[in-house]
Amino acid sequence: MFKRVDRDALAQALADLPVEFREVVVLRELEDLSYKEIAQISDLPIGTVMSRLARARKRLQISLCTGSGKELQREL
Amino acid sequence: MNCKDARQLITGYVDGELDLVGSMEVESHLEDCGSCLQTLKSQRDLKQAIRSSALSFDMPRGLENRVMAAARKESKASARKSATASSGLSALRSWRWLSGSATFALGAAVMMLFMLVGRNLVHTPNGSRTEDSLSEEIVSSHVRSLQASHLFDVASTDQHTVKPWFTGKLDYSPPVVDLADQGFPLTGGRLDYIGGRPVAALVYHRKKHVINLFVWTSGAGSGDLRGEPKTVSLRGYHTIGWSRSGMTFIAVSDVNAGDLKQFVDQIRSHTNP
Repeated sequence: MFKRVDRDALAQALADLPVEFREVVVLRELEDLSYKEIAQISDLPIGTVMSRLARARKRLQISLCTGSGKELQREL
Repeated sequence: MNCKDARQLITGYVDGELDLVGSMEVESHLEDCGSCLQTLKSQRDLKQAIRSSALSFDMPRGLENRVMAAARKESKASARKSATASSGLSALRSWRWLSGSATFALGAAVMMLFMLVGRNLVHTPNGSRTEDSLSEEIVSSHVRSLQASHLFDVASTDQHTVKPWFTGKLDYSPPVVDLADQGFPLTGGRLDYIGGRPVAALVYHRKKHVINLFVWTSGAGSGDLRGEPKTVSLRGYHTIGWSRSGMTFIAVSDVNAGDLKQFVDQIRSHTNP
């Protein structure tokens, strides 16, 4: 769980994401676009948008966990 | 529903994107599964962290406004209402996916967004603007104003029409002079966004070239433009910037450097307090 995430760690984790994952995260979390809008912009099926977001979030959680030295959370 | 299937849907659930059936299935699974509930909470926390952390970076606010400006091209009327609001996100919601060119322009703006998000989230330590990033933003804003046919919010050669137009839209009154006699006629103005703040853009013409003169009140993020006007050339455009008496001015155009300098000299002599 990430109650207070270190901003630099988050910036680094985002920058480390492969571009196709970073894209969906930025469009969703920073631009507040719906899956449908993201799908249109990125020319992807909606299902892919959702699964990419899921994988992107997983990767971010792993980066952040690893970064802070915590052990990997089981559900990842 | 088993955990494997639930995991597929939890992202959609957290984002409010599942339909009713999907939501109900996920919720009923979560009632019995602590592990998936944990996944849900982690995703929610992560989302929250990204939103609250990222929104405080200075650079992405400027980028957000770029995307907003791209959207504004296609839905002027509805975006105008929310364009002056402090959060630009509501403007994004009013997009209409009308044409390929809108999507393309948006795509271009978005690509710019990630390249800079990738670069600047890591390298911009405390939100201080570098001159390069300001010049970049000025040139991009200039180019966008040309492409978009969104050069003017108020189109008039009369300074007594243009200057008062900004009242109520900005918390300062930009000095507006007409230089038609010197070959730089005023043609209008608009509200634009630089560095996340609304700024005045005064539009002049030089023969067939457009000169955008951005004016804002000096402060953090204007860069250090005290002293003699400073020229930066970028991608074939020239920008000349200076600060005086609490206002910062940046002129940008594709006219040759000599003409732009002449323009700047004229503006400076006419706005000498």
